[in-house]
Amino acid sequence: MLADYALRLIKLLGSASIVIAFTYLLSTMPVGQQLLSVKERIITRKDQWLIWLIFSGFALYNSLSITTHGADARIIAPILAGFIAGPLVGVGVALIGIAGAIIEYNFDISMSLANTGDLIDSIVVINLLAGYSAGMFQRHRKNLISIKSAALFVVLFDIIIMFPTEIYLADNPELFLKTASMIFPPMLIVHLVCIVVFLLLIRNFNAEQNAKIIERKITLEKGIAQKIFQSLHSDSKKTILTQDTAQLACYPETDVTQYTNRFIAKVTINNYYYFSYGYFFGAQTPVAMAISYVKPLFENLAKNHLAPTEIDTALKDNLRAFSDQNVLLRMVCCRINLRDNTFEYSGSDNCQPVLIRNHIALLLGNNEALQIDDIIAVVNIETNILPPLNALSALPDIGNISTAVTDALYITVLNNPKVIARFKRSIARDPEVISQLFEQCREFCQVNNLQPRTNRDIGLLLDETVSNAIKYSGVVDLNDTSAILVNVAFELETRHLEVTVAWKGDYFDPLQYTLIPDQQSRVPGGWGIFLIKKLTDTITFERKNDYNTLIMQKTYPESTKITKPEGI
Amino acid sequence: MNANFGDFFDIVNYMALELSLIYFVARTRIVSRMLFERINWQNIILTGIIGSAMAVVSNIYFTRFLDWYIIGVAPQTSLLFGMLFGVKTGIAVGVGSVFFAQLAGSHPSYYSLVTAVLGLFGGLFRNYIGLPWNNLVKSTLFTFVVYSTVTMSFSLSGRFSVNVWHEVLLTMFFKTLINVWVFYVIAHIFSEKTTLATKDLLTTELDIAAQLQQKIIPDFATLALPPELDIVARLQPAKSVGGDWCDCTIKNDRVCLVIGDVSDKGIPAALFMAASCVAFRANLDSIYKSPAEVMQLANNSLFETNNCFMFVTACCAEIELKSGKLRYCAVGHPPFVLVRNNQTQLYCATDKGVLGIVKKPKPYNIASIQLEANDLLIFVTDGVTEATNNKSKLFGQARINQALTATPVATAAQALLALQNAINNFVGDTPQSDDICIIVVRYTPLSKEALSDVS
Repeated sequence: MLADYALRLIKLLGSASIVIAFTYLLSTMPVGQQLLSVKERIITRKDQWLIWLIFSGFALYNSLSITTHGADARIIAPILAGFIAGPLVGVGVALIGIAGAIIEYNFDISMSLANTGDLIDSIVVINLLAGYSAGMFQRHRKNLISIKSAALFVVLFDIIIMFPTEIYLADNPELFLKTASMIFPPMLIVHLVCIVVFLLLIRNFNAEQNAKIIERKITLEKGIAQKIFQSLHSDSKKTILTQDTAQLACYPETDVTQYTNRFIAKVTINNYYYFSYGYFFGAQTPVAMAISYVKPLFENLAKNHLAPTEIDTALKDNLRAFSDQNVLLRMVCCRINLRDNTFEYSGSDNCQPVLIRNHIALLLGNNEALQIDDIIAVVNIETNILPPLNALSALPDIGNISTAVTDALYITVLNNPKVIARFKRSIARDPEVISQLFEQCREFCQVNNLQPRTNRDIGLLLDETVSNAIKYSGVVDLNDTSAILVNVAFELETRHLEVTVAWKGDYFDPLQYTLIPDQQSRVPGGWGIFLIKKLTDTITFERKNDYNTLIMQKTYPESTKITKPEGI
Repeated sequence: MNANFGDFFDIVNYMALELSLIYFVARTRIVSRMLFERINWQNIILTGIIGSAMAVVSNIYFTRFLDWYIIGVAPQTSLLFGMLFGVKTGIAVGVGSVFFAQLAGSHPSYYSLVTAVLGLFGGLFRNYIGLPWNNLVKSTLFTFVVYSTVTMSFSLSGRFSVNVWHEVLLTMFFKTLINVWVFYVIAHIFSEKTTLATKDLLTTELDIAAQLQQKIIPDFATLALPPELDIVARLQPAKSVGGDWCDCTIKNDRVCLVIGDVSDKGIPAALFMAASCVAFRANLDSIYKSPAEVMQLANNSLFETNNCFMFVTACCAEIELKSGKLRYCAVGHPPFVLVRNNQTQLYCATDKGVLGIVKKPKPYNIASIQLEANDLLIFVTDGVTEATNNKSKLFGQARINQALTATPVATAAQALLALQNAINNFVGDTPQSDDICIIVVRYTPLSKEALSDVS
């Protein structure tokens, strides 16, 4: 009995599997993808014909391939066609199944089929009922029928289709029970398996289709975004960055050709060369967003003359949102003072600047004075790309080094520092000390043989700024003459003058009061900013460590020093 | 029907059954992990049992239904499993299928060695030629040649009469076809899994990006706002991420607000939005600059990096807390609304054009408004005015005004909620077509007593 069931089950499953196999193959073809799509189920007349054709093939096949008596897989095709395309198609498919049965029984419709135990009239009724009821079951649903509902439908339908047998064998209940027990279990299992599997297949297929659509959309979007990313990280338009200062050379070029988690930023501003090298951990799009955020942020912070440690802190503060999402940054911020070629840096432990001098590689500290032909390699230590320092030392030049270690940024020093003369004093508020300062200045200009025009400019700038700095420093106790109040410095390059005056006191930005047109009246007593602006090319304000700092710069058409004619 | 037709149906049914079985077996977690990830001993034993069971069922099918005792299907199954899972599984299935077939009462002794050897061959194919589903042509040829050789050698060894040659050839053909089907199905499952995994990866990535974007803009609920101002904002991208943003800086007695909209949507806009946000924020944070100067500097900064013709429209407004004076500069941005005594007034952009395209535009204009107590300011991006319903009608400015004045609101949050509800009711189920960003500000100047307390 059990072996008989097993054989019947295997055979029926084989017969029913043809629907699954073909549906699967259909789902891999473009026409099937349209027909089996759960979303936007607008079944056109053409689709109905196509579904009818395909499922009629199954119905015909199932009718013709029946060789075991009792249950069959014939009704599966009309039920599935009804589920997909409605009652009309379900009935159409059922008719083809019926035609197949008539062919199978040699067109003898009155024959009581010895090998199935079914009457042809019951086959007609059951098939038509299957196609129609499945279609009606689906008709008012927006989405394709759920697996649970389909299973319930099949169970109910299989119970209903046992009635013809019951009527046929009404006189012999014993025989009915025997026949039913032979037919019903394998038939129910096969119908359930087949229809559930079919719907699972369609569900998987639709999940895949949706995934494909989403993947395609996102990939397309990322393709466009990549161009934006390149655009944001290409330095081609940034005139300030296209050429590194004549004193330094940088490898590699920062043009980006694809998404990367590395970023390089370079800014030259007011005799400082800022550069940063770093990399992010995280998924591609968040990292691209982070780099798009960090690079301009670094450039803007550098433009405000912040020290590397301050930039590092500001970046960490600004990137907290990113690190909360596990988009982690490892970077090092560096600055070279082009006037004296001193180097400063700040950053995470994973990125480290290395100094290669005379073929010896050393870990670089802060405030190191660089020399001609020095190479600074900012390397990523965490990925173990950094070779041992002696290996770097063994490499003959920067070309070889940058080829050997690609995950790094290299700066090489080409020329001497720019500054040809420097004056630096810290003075207290004592009027005598101030007059001494002006005296020292005049002496300095004389010793360094400065042009009269430069000499005059230095005098005027110091006069305007130092006296007013004392006046507006906000210090209450004016008798306290011992405190260091003002730092004065000026530096000269061949054609360039930079005067820095920093005074300790409350926050006070004199430039602010010259920039708001309707607040001119609030300018506190003749600050002389107007005159200073006339005398200089640029003037910037910084607030650093309780000091208000004014940086004034001017470039002359001729040398700042008097050059003696040759031979004299 | 005649016997030949019956055989044909049975073979086709068998193929369909095997295809269906393989499809669902290959989708199970264990088999899927073995196929596409890693194989351990536990899985080898399990797969060996599954393969052996399949071999026995196939044998029963072919011997009981078709009366074909000649070859059975066990060799084919061990070869198939060897190719799919490697040498160990191939041999396990070969040995197991013989064992199970013997238990099932078959007489498989004559191919007991062959099944194991074929499993070994299958495994070697996987090791040295590659995964069969990635090398469909090679695996088809390999299966056919190996299987033909084995079958022929058995047939020619004299165990079988020449009358069964057609059956031998027919089975060879069908079994090769079954293997190819199996490889095809697995290749498809592999591609499906890859697609789903890629989709999951991409959507996770976008989810993180979306959360990041929400965190880039200030959280007004936790921002230390001055008591004069009640500010709420909402950013709602059309896709996971978008190009709208808003920002706020508090400096001394001034509060600066920025609302901006980058052209395009999705990831491209999000990248440009990150850069735009910094371009504005950097200038808001530094020493005092008027809204027009902030605009100018942001434009220059964006222009430097913009090679893709992306552009930005923005409105930068500055409120002096004590005097209630509002200065603003808006370039190409939709007007903002001032609600005073339940009446609305529109303030349009001060300048035409967009940011990020022109190198050094002429200085932008500034306009100013004197705010009064309980004034409401509503800044929006074009995603609000252009919100579309299923009849392709736009939400428009009139509906914004109507939503804000329909019922008097006491707080900025209530005004935002009213506007948001009006948009949602209008749009219904229609998917959002553009990013939406809204800032609502309510100005309440401090009384003289409060001012003296603060001072």
